[in-house]
Amino acid sequence: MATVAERAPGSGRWPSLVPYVVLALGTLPIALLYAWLLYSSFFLRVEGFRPIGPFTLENWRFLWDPLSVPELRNRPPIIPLTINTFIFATVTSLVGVLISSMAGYAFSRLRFKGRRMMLGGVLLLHSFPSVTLLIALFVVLRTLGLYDKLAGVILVQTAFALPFGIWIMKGFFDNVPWDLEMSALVDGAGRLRTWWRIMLPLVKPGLLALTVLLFVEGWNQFLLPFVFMPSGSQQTLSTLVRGILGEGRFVDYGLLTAVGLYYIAPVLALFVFAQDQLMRIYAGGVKG
Amino acid sequence: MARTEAIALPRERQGAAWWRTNATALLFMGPAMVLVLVFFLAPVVITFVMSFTDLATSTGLSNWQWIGSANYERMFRSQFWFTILGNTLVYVAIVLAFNVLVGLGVALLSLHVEPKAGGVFRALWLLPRISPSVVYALMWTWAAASPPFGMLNYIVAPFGLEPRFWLQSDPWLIVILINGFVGASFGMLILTSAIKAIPEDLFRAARVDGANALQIVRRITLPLVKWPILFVLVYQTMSLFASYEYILLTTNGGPGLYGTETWSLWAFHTALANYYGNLDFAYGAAMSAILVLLGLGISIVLLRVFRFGQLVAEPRVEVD
Amino acid sequence: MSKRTAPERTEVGYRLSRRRFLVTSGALVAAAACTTTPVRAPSGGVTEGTVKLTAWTIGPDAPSYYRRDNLISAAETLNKKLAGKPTVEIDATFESGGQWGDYLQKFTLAAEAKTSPDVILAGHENLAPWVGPSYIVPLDDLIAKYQSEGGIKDVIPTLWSAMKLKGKTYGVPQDTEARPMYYRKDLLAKMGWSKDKIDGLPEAVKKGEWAWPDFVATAKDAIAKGVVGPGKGWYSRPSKGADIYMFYYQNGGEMQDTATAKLVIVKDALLKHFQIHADAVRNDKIMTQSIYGMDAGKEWHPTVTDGKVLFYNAGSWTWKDWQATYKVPEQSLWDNVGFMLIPAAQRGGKPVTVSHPLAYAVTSNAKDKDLAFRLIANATTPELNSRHSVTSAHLAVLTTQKDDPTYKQDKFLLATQYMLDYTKFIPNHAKFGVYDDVLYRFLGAVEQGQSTPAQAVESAVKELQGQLGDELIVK
Repeated sequence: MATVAERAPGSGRWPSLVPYVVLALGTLPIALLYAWLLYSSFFLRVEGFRPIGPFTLENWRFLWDPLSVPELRNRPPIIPLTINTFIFATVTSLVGVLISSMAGYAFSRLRFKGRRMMLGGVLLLHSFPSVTLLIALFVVLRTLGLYDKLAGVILVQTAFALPFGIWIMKGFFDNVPWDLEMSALVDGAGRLRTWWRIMLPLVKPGLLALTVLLFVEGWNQFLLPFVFMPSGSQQTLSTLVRGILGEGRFVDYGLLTAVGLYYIAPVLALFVFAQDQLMRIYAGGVKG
Repeated sequence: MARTEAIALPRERQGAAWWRTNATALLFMGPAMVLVLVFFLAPVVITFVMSFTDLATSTGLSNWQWIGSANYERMFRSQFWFTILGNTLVYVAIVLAFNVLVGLGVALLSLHVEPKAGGVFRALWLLPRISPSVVYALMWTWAAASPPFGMLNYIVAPFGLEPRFWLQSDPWLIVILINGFVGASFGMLILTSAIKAIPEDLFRAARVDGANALQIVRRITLPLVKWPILFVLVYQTMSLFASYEYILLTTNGGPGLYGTETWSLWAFHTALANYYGNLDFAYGAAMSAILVLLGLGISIVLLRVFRFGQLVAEPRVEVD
Repeated sequence: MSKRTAPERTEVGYRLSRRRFLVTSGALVAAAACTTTPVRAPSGGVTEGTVKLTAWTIGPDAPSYYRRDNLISAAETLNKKLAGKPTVEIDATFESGGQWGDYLQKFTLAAEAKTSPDVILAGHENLAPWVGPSYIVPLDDLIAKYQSEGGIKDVIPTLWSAMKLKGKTYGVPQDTEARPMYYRKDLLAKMGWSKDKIDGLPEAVKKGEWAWPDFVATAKDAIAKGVVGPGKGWYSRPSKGADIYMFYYQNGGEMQDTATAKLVIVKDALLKHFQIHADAVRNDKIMTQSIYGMDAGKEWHPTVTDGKVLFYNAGSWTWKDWQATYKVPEQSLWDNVGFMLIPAAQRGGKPVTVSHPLAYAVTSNAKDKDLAFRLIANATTPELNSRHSVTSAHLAVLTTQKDDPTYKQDKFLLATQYMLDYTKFIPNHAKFGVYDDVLYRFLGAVEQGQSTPAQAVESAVKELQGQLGDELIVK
């Protein structure tokens, strides 16, 4: 593992503290923001960091007594919303990984007409202004009868995840030495079989990392459910959070942070456990 | 990671029809191609076509008409398109600089310190990226709120700065910060793994020669991560042109006369978010069309300049 | 040779069987497909003499839930009248605390997809953009046919005019309100005003004896005397809305030409409207600069309910909202807060306010439009409407409501009823959204000092002309 520099023996104490201090200062805003989120959900009112009132679990009562929360009374209950969000995230990640690993393999291993152009296109697509697509996609979904349906939003989200996923999977496939594959092919195994039985297991870290990443992106997705799935029953947690923000109505910020924390918790948990995978995901996709 | 030349395998067929020789490719690429066709290419075409109509809520999907270039004329007749374009360019430039410099900085520093500590810092920097945008925006909205709520006010108080409603008084600062903290993590990750891949011997040799940390970074590290840096630059430029979600969720393009409105946000507001309910799809499509052209233009320039060809080497196993 | 197992990577501690992967993802895709059937069945499908009607309503203020509940009660009444031929089932929703923009967008997109409800509640001006694509149907024939259903024939005549576009009626008034200027009686007392003067203020404003220059002077005085903090003499509305236009109307503004239904902008009135706000924030300093975009729930309402602001304009329904949502005791409001019209521009002029009637409309998606209309009609009765009025502090839409026992008891509603004689409406025009967007942005600019009122008027009118073309008349 290469580091930029080891601490040279005999160097003074304070120079070696400098990078720590700089890093700490730079990272402080982030730490403060998340600390506030955590903190604020346990008090009725917080000014800056100063809590008003005692430590309380009041804000969390939407979990066990949703009807007592006026802002939530006229909204779909939170458990079905959580399930919706979960289904959305899971399906988009699984389907996305599957399709990305197929196309990524093709880009990495197969030679076919238009490959270069398509690869360039994949990269361009990723930065395509989504707002452009949103407007026209409404027409497409409407025509396909998929507007305001979970399936429609899943398809769109999966499609949007493709450019990135393909690029990443291609990178992982690129890193696999081709001996095993070669011997399998020489022995008469078809491409599909080779891909399924040999290549995929070899890029498992990539598959897992991509699955986690796509899951997180699906879980966090706001714009697509917001624009394409406006019906109350099919909302996701992100639209709920924004809905609570309201139009100048009294906003219970304690409640809002509690719901926000509830929403972000699975992602944080996943992050803690799958950190390595998430960090590694970017390693495969760039040529050094 | 070096590639050998392509190798022809015994099963290669000569002279067969395109769909036969490319059948495998079709199989693997198929699902992706369908999705991309339906959800990327079709909408792009539709957007361009739509921009020449007057499709809006008030016409519905059945009553629209062709109006030629009227939407484009209307757009350039607005007194604000120039401001919004300016906003977009400023936004992209500054946030890009923040992303790349801070990403590089965090990567370098976090690898310089104890690995465990470095890992913790990098993990913290990744948090904004993996958080739901609504929650992250909520945190910043609160931080930037007016006294007595806003956290920022308490932080700058010791430095003598007057407390204020940051979202209104310094919207650009907030926009840059909120996007920067998310964006920097991208560069940080890429550059971290790139730097880690540099062989240890180079550093040892340099240290034996008496180089200090700064010199090592300048002479050894930076030149060796030139490619990843350029990749991050290109990638993030393209992303920033298209991004508007965080601005939407915080300043919403305000305050006042399009203070922080970027082109993509303008298109979104026009087509999908009108207070009195008249959504102007076609007009928004015209704005998007311009954005696409702008983004495409810049991407192609960047990709040419940074020799994209090197990233797309031929695959090593050539068959079927 | 086929490899049964590939070299195992044990980094992840478990081995996912590929078969299981396929089955799971297949199952999840199937689950997703199953959850995609919309919750609401297509409306009006007649199943053995049952008609299902769906309705969407919104507050966003929480106390307005009778907008939904009245429809439910109406269904009961209607069912009694129909005696099973057919039976009406109602599925109505009420959005509390949401945003108008999102709600309207939801409807627009649903209407395009033909999944919209049968009955939709919206602001009267929201109906205009929906007329073009025929999302809603004209109601004139139905109104004539069902004159004696519910309270239809007793609707206050001026309200119908707010429901019309090019001569056709598209909505049934659901409620209306006024937007008074509230003032703190306790603060005026601290400034040395006598009780008589304080109590007589609304009357003085109504007669045009106490006008805007007096308003500004009083606010400045309050700040000078330290009765309120700087910038807290006047709090206007912090976000987009119809109230903004009160000051335009106050100065002779017009927004719609009755003959052609085109939008109108009166430059002189616009200038004065901008000037008032610019002066308030920048010159006289009676209003804080952070008013534009101030968070209503977090800051605006708590500050005014704490009694820290001398004058503030809000809606008549806000009276109830303060009690329900911000927990201000009713008696405390009566003791400390007074309400009046927006003072005239000059002494001797006419005071104004703005009303924003909401309307129930029948959508083109409704399979049985007669039934949908009758549902609305039965919700428009003195009893039902009064309970909504009283609970949410909205004003009556029926002439008969002033005799309704529930309504009669509400001091506040009776006290504000006179304001309807001085009220104006915002126009019904499909492009009003564009008009409003431009003017609101320029208002922000003059308040922030980005442009002088004169410059703003020139630019705003130019922008309006550029965006609206010949749909705009400039005076």
